[in-house]
Amino acid sequence: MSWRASLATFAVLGMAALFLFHLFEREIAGSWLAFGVHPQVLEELESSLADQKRLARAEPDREGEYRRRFDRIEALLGNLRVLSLSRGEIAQRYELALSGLLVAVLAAVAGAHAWRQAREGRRLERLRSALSDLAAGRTDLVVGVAGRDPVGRVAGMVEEASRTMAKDRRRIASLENLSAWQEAARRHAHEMRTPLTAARLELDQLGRLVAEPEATHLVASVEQEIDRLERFTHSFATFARLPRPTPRIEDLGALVAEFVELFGSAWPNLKIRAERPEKTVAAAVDREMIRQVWVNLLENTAQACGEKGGQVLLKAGNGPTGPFVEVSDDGPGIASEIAPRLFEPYVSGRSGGGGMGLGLAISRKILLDHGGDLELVESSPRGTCFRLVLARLEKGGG
Amino acid sequence: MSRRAVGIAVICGLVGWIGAANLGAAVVPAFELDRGGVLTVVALPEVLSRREVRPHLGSGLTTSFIVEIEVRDALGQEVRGVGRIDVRYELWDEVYLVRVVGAGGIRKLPPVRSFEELQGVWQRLRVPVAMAASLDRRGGPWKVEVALSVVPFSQSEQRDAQRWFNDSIAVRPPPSVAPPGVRPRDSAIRGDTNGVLDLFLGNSIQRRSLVHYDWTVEFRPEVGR
Repeated sequence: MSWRASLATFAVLGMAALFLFHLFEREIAGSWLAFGVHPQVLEELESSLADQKRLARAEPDREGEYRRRFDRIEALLGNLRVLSLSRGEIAQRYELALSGLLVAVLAAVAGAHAWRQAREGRRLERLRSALSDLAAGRTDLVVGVAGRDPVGRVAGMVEEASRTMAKDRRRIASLENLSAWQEAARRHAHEMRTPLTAARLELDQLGRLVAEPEATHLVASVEQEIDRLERFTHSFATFARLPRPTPRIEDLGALVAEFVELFGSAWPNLKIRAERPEKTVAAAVDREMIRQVWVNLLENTAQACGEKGGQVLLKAGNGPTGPFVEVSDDGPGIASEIAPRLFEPYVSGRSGGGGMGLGLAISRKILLDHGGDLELVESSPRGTCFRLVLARLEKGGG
Repeated sequence: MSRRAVGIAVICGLVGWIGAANLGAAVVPAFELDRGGVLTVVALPEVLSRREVRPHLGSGLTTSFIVEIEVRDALGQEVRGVGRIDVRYELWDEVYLVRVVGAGGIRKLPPVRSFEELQGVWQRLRVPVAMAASLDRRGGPWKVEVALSVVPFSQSEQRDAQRWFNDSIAVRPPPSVAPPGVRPRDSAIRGDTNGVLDLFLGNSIQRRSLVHYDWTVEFRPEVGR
């Protein structure tokens, strides 16, 4: 509100207050005082005094009673006369009290208004600064302007926009990173496939030509290594050729339950269960690809738990950022030196080179392609929890 | 004799008659100084019948006539003093009660039956107002400034009226709400906004003089008196 508008508002308020003050003083304060000291009241009291005296003369035996009544009336009459004589001063005092009250109220209103204006000014300045930061590309902003009024709501939107921007940036960075890795994997797979095929053919030929047992053993050993390299190449190729998801709106709770029913016994050392949410958790997902993510996670868990075994819980729900599925286990946890780079390709926690370290990278790529993300919620010697965050469904459709 | 001359003669006669009627009444106060140095007002001008005073005398309230003097001798030495005459009409007995308060203490006069009698008492009143022993009697006449204020009610009547006023305007719960035998708390003591306002209004009942008369007279203290 501009100062002119404020001034106009105050002028109107002040005039209204003055009018009410005048009305109150004139019609109420003046009236009751006039009523109290009305000459007729005084005359009637004087007449009553005379009556008491006459009655006392007429009934001398009840003189005491009439005298007491006379004294009471006389006291009242005296008080009214004093009031009448002080009428001007009382009215002045009353006006003074009301004026003081009026000034106090106006000052309080003005003070409150000024405070509010200053507060609004500060809030708007914070909002302006935040918008300017947002325009400059800063993310994860905290505006520090709360409230349900428009300024507060806009501040909330700015904070949310900055959070979304930050999240999108992280996603884009991750996607760019993964794309680079995918390209490298594609080339490796391409480069390795031809020599591997040739090597296998040559090895088959060699196996047929050499009949000595020791040589046969060596050929078998080389074949195993070639098999291993082919598996790696296949993994590279799989990572490089990850298809784009074809999402459909699914109930994640039902999807999790179905997965547990189908794959619950796939890992003998794991006891897998699903927690059904109370409400439907709708999300746009490619069910095959999401299953692939769960398989990858459970594969890792099964590897980590080993013979000791473990328990896994899959739980779908709706969070502030959107629908999610949490996969928690009571395994030994992830080594702290690996955790920060966990989702990078070729990072593996398995000892002895048992894995390519592509499972979590592929899984995260799948989630990112879904408009969501894969997060490591926590990991400790008591267990690990991953969260599959999915994109929030837009209102009125998928 | 022309009609005009007759008119003038009539007016002159009337003025003379009125002047003769008021001849006995003092126009300015007179004083006496006794051997002990007490200065006494001995002839206050007649103010009782003035229209701004007369109605209050029969009100039943105490009308106070406050006499304040400031005496300055030829050497410039100064003495101040005050005296008071309280007049209250007793409505039951229909008599005027007169009390004189001065330098010599409080003196009650016998009840006065009528206003005319009161006027007579007034003319004979002696009000000791100041101890002037320290002033110089030989240097010349004293200059006495006299102020007479008429206050329509006494201090105790003021207190009664204030208390009654505060009780009357205080907001009290209806009798049915207060349990029997429990006296509702005085709002003024309660200290809420109404109480403060009531107190503020109640205190506006203050004694103020209705009229004020001033005279400046010369007084020659007689040496050896």
